[in-house]
Amino acid sequence: MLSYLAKRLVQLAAVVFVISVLAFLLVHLLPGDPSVTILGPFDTPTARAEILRQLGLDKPLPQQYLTWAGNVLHGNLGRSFLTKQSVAHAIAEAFPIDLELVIVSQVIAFALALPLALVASRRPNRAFDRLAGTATFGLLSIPAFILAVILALVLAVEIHAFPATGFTSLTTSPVQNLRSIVLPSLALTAGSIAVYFRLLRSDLISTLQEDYITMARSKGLSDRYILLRHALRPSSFSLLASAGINIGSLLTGAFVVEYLFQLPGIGYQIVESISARDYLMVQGMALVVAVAYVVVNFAVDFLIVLLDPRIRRA
Amino acid sequence: MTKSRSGLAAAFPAATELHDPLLEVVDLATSFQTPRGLVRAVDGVSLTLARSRTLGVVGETGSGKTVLIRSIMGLLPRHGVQRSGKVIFAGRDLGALGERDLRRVWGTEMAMVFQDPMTALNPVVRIGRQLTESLRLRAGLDRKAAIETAVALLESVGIASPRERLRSYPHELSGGMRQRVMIAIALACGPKLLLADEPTTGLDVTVQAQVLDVLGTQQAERSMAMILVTHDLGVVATRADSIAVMYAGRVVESASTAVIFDSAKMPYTEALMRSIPRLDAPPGARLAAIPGRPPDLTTVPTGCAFAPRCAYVTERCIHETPPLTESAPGHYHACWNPVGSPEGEQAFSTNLAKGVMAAVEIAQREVRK
Ligand SMILES: Nc1ncnc2c1ncn2[C@@H]1O[C@H](COP(=O)(O)OP(=O)(O)O)[C@@H](O)[C@H]1O
Ligand SMILES: [Mg+2]
Repeated sequence: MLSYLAKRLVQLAAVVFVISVLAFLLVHLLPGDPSVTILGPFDTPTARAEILRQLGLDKPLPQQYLTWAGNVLHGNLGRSFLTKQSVAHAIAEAFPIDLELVIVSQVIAFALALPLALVASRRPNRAFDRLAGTATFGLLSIPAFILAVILALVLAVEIHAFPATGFTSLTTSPVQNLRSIVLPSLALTAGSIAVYFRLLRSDLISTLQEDYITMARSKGLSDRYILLRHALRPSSFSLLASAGINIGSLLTGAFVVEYLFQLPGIGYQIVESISARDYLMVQGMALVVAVAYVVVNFAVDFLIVLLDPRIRRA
Repeated sequence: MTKSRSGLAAAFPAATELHDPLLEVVDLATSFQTPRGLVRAVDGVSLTLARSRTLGVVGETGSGKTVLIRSIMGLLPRHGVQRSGKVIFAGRDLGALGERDLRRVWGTEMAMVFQDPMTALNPVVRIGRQLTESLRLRAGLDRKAAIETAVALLESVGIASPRERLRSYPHELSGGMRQRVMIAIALACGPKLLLADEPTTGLDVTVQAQVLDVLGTQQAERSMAMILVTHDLGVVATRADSIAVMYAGRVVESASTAVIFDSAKMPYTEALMRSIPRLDAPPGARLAAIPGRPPDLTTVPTGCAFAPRCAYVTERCIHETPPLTESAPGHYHACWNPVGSPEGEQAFSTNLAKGVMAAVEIAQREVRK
């Protein structure tokens, strides 16, 4: 178990290293003078000279990388030439929004997909299963942005149950914050529900064919107990693996929904920064998102190992 | 159980309890709907088993042994199965019960040891829970009592340091250990009937003997009846009171163990006996495997299902199905040309004279018609 963890941690470190090199090169391999890339086209020659000295832009690339990586580790990701805001600060503002979106949307997705799959798998291809399958397939085929528009029209514009756009931070007003996050979360949830339902349902159906389920039946245990205590855990591995990948990609993939609801999350900010050629901002955010993606998947892998004793020895 | 009864009742058990069989199976048939057609896995089986006795069910792989004992228990897939016939267990017809009522019988009165403990134990659940869950949920023990009982059970089936083993997962145990755990699980709620499905297949010979001994000891201590299923007549030779030989979903011969070994009437039983591994055989000696394969159970054969592989085959065997007849008290067989009978001798020598392939030839001629 510990050696498995150690091996995976080494892997994680290697992947994070590669990500950091790519993020570093993002700025340095763009054609033209890196100081222009970093400071924008309209800065003064003195500022250029200063940034050249500070980041050692005249030194060889590996040395530049080390300087940069050192800064990053100290939480210094540079400053946006446009807003003069520190990149780290911008990330600290934007990232919690994504975190909230992902958590709320995933809680909803699991809360719906899990019971649906548990009930559907007991009688495959019967009325309930078909209904749930069709309904989730419908959700899957609606693009998030269309769903977002529909949700906004119905629940915000017509009924005024939720604000149509904008974001209230958790510290300002927890209630307002939740209200501003519900609609975008729902828009993001739809696809996840469908995928989670289908994965769990098909794994449950094949698990229920296993000998150890017949064995559990032969002990006279109730169907409900067998489903929850014998079948669910060995059926949850592909669900969890896909949740890991899904959560990771929601961190950036949420930008369409963030745009529609005017939530200044990371996805939104990255798109803004790219169109403004604010490369330091892009670099910092890409780095954070990529690392978060890897960490989430690492955590999910670890969870699967905890749940499946057979792979612990691997 | 007996101890908790009043002294009088214990001293004079009801007459029915002494003389009625614990289990009486009448004309049990089970078929599966498959894309290839209806598979008649069990086709009209009748058996009886008295309390604390052992019945050996023997037959090649695919002869319907597993389906038979699962049909007795009612433990079949929920869909695509047809079952008919009677299963009278301790005075009740289980065939008439739904799963909800059967569940009350499962585990507590009738329990099963599965063929392959690797697949029949849940790989992601500790041995401890797999053992204690029925004690807690079925026998109503609290957590502590269930754990103590589980430890005692593991100890009784010969598992060293049982308390630590409760925390193990199935893959952490050896094959023999897993089978012992499986037996402990089946015994947990004190069933009156144990259905053991090839409990030693896949184990090496010394471990096989140990596991069978554990079963025997437990059976004697608990005065529990047992159906011991195997494809190896050698396994039941010393452990069963009587034997039923199965072929293609039917019982083709049944008698007490001594009679089966002394005077088997079915050529199939005789062939099975020749395929028992012998300890005194010269090293490297080949077992006399039965030539050919068991029939496809989707087509209803006319005649005897074993005919195409039988050394005693005659034209009659191919046209007429031999009925199960009682040749001596308690000895049933289904054969037109039984071993040791004049017809049998005649058929065998004729076939021998025609050559080894005669039987196959007759059968194929029939198929081509
Ligand atoms: N669930 C099932 N669906 C279809 N056919 C089955 C099923 N279970 C068993 N069978 C068929 O029933 C026959 C008897 O199988 P089984 O009882 O497992 O044989 P044995 O235990 O003697 O090796 C086989 O031909 C097998 O393919
Ligand atoms: Mg079998």
